[in-house]
Amino acid sequence: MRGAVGVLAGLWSALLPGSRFRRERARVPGEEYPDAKTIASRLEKAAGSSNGLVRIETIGKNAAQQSLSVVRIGTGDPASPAVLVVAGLDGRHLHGIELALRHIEAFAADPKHARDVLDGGTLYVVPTLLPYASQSVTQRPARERATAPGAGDLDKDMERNEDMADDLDGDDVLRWVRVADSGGAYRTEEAEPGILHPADRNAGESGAWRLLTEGLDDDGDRRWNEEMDGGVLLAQNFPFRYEWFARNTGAHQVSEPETRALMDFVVMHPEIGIVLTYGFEDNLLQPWPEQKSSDPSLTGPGWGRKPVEAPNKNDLPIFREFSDRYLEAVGLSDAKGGLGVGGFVTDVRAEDELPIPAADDAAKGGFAASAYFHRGLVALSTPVWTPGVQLARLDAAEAAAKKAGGKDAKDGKNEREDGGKGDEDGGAADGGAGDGADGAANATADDASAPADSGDEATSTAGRDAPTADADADADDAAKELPKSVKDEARYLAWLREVDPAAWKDWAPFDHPDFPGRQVEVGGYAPLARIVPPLSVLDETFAGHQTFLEGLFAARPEIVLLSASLTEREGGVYALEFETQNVGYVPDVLAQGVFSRIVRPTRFEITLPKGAEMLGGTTRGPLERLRGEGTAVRTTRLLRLPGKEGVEVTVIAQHGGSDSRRVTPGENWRRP
Amino acid sequence: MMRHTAWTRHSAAGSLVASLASVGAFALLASLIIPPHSPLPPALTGTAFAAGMTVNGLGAPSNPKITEPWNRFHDVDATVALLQSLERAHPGLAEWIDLGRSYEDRPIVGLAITNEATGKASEKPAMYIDGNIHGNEVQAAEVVLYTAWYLLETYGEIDRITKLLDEKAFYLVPTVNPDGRDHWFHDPSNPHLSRGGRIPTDNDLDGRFDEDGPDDLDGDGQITHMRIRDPWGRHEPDPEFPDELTQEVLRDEKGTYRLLGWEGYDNDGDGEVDEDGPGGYDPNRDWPWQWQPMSIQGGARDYPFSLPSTRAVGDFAKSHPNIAGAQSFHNAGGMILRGPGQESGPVAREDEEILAYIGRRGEEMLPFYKSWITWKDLYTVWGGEFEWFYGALGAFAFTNELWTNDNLYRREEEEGQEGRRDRAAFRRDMLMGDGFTPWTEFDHPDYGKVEIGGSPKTFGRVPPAFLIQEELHRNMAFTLYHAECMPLVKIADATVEDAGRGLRRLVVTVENQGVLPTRSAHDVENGITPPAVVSVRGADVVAAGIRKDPYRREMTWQEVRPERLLVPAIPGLERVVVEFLVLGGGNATIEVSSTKAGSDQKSLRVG
Repeated sequence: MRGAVGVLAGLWSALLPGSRFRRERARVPGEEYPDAKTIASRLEKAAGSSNGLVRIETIGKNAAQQSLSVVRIGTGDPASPAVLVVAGLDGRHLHGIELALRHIEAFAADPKHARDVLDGGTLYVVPTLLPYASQSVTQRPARERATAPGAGDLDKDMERNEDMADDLDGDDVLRWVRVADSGGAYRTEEAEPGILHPADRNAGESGAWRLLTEGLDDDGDRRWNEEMDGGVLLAQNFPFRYEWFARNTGAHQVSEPETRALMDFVVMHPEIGIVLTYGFEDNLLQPWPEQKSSDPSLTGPGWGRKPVEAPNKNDLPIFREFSDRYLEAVGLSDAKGGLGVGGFVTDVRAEDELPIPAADDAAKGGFAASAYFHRGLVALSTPVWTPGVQLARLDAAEAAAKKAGGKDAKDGKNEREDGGKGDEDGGAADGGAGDGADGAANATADDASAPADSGDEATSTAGRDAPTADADADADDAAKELPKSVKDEARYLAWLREVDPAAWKDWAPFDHPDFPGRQVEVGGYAPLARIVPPLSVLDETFAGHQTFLEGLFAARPEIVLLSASLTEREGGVYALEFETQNVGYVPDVLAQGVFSRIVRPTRFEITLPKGAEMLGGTTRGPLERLRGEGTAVRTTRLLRLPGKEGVEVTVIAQHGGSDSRRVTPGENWRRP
Repeated sequence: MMRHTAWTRHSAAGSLVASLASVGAFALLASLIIPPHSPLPPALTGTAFAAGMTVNGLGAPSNPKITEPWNRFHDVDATVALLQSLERAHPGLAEWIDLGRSYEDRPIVGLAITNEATGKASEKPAMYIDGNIHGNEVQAAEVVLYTAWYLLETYGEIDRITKLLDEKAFYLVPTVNPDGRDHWFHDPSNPHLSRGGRIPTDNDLDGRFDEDGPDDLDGDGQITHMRIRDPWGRHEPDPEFPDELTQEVLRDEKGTYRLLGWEGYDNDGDGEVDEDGPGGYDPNRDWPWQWQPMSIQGGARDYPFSLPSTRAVGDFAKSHPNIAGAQSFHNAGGMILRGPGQESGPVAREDEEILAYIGRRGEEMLPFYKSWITWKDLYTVWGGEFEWFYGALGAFAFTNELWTNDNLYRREEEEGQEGRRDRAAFRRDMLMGDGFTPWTEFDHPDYGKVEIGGSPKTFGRVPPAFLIQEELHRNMAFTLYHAECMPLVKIADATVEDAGRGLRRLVVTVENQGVLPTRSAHDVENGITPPAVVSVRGADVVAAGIRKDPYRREMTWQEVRPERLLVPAIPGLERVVVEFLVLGGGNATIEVSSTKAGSDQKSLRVG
């Protein structure tokens, strides 16, 4: 890092007219999220107030010997079904961590309700494998950091950390640099000169801007800041579709102490049947497509099989149903798609910048994907919030407002393209923005020309790059010609600047020593501004997530004995018959669970009285797969009993609990 | 160094003691060599013979410090003791390496062998060799022990070995599955049992772990076969060897026996016999490269390197990037296997050509062995060990499946019953009847009256005693050839020319003396290890580049940091010519350094 440049830039900005000699600490989106100390204290507080319901346990340590916590809510009985919530696999996904903490706090605050929900089962929550994640935005200069500390030398030049980002404009925040370049990957539209979108070369579009992260080419290799975030991305260090030699994926699958701790925890808890992950993996906001499934033989020898990368066709409807339930719970049932990562904003990526992965990429080496495809678990995952989710919420709020205001349908049909204003009902305009210490915290969406930051910036060359909610008719006309992704981003940006002015900084010219004589600008989104919502947004969406989580306990497989009888035949011979039923929604074993050869089939065990004799058949064995919603299977055995003492029948499901009943000779019992 | 005379006069108590003056000296040496916690190693228990003269055969150490007959197998304690003896007898050549512990807390250890006077092992191209990842494949560890012994005892006697240890290094780990090995030795077993590790595993998915393994019903220390007399059976006694073999009857014939599998009970009452024995997973399916879970690859566990033993080996290998060649030993079948393990597995074309060449040389050294590609010629393997050495570490790697029954009569064995008769004849004629447990009656609680008998664990997958050393030596020879092929960089030439205007041109020829390239094509493609670096110290380098053609000055200039010129790879037995433009004069030092091909340096005066 050429530190002198940053120092000079800082001095330069400090001496600009209007600036304070002693600058206030710039506010950065995401810094209100909890740090390691806060996470620990919130967990302890929750455990302390839960009347013994919530316990903090350790699953391992990271390389720095910090303990990694799992929170156990409920009995921890290994014979009872369990659900696992995992967050904090990607250091950028701070809102997942916050949501996991809030789940713990919600259960701790109402132990009676929690016990009712858990129904003898256990909720395990791993709130984060990266407890220090928020440091990336609380330290200065603030940056995005996704990874755990690791090897570095991403450019494989035998030097570590030799080219890190530099705070060129001295604002304590690392953003982007754009360089005017017709060979660049991005272009802008005249009406939205601040918004970059990928040039579609196939459509004959030329690029206009090369996009870099903020900094200098410290090692002269014509790459910029390529050593940033050089550790291992835990979220993509798991076995399913693991990517060898990709950036940040580690030396191999499960190479890190954190990922090994989590895998070992899952292995050691075979009663965990459902996993809910908060991160970039996604099969809830965007359900797995109906058209893409697999149908391998579930039995037969293990050798000769091919790796399976699409969900089993028998499981797919279950996962799609969970997606429906999720969208309903979080109020997104009416969304018109586009909820996931990618499509706009999140698909803009500076050179050598870690991508914000869309669902398919996030599944490569993903924890949830590994849990389903390799271990046969119901593994659900959601990014929780995305810019697309935010637009859908704006759509919903506007529709509600229009409905309430009696507006006609015509106004509503192009909500996405209209450039919505941050609304009072569904938006988050009332939360995060005002909390910042930044001098421009009072900037509003109505004040499009106001600099987003404290005013100590150079004049923007793209000062009108943030469309406003009250854009005039001309702008509206122009906007209609824009590509959809640009229109969506403009609308998102308008909302973002309203709720958090610090999230965006207008592009400002910079005399970049690596590009003498070229047009270079510094600016764009603050770290995490495209990934993490203001906390106030989570306030709204938490309840839906809590509802969905509690619903998982209701949906889990639940294996019961439906009937049991001992009917006397001739010669002291009895027929033992019993029916086993799954009264839950989820099958006792997913099709992928059968395929996995890890999840045990539900099995029965018959305990005979002394002197009894089985007349064929075994006293224990597996049952057929019990699909949910009342599927039952009948088992029959012939046996000879020495007297009137009965036999005990037990059925045991790995993910669905167990049931047991003693049946006496002549008894014909049926569950009421 | 010339080889010592093969003539050695022995007086008493074996060759080690021959060099000692008295019983007291023997005791003193023994106390130095033998670890206090170990029993007297087998290597030191020679048989005394009368005064006289022996003549050594060729290609063997003339006067080894450690004697070992190489016609037997060592359990883990004996293996460790032999390694310790070798280490202590050969300071400066052998260094103890401790990789970790197994699930049952047995040591995973070995020796790093090189001439430390010419450089540390970690600074030289290294050959990693291990064995016995399958616990029952016991002679695999013996090859590695033999290799250690041979290298150490012939260094300074045999020029090829001396050169090899002066320039290169070996990491030798006899057993990477000590749990499986020891249970094979100490528990009732057979040629095939105790293959995996000992972590309790629920193989039949009934919620119980290892609850129904084989049982030594007749108490003879072997798990042989059970058969039952059955007029509807499909087997009958073999007409040629009726006391040993059964043969399948023809479709239109009735038999007299039915085969019931390994000795055992239905211990858990589920109707199955021996369906969930100890362990039940495969450590050779636990390696990250092309790993797949149990659903795709039988024997895999929960995730790659989930076993302590494989993780220990993996950690060792990852921390020794100088490993340029790798070899694992298994049994059986007589194969020299190379990757990929799956049809889709990536092996670069250039690498395949080299691997195939070395494999063909192996076929010449190893009678009846076949040089095969695993997936194509044998079967598909996901997550195998030696493929990880190639795929993840960029080392050229092989697995040898030791021992083929073709070596019984030095001809290709017939398939099926004819082959079984060959083996029975061999037992009769060459083993003097050893190697078969006669069928005896047994009252079985599940089946009634059965017969138990068959081959002991030491027949079928391992050589008989008189062929063991040959098997070890030939396989070692193959790996030593592989090791000799490993790359080795040297500065072959360095000259200074006046380039005018105060500039001087430093022309350096860097050669690779090995047959293997300094980096495999797969390594270069994926950036597994860094390029070789040619650097200049003591001169102000203003530009540096690589000649595209060694004969002409057509250059590829390196844009940044010219004092540290990166050379992606040097092919085997090739050279690269690089140039540095330097300012000023004085003494300069040129150094070449390659992760897998060692380093070299040369000083010269510039101007």
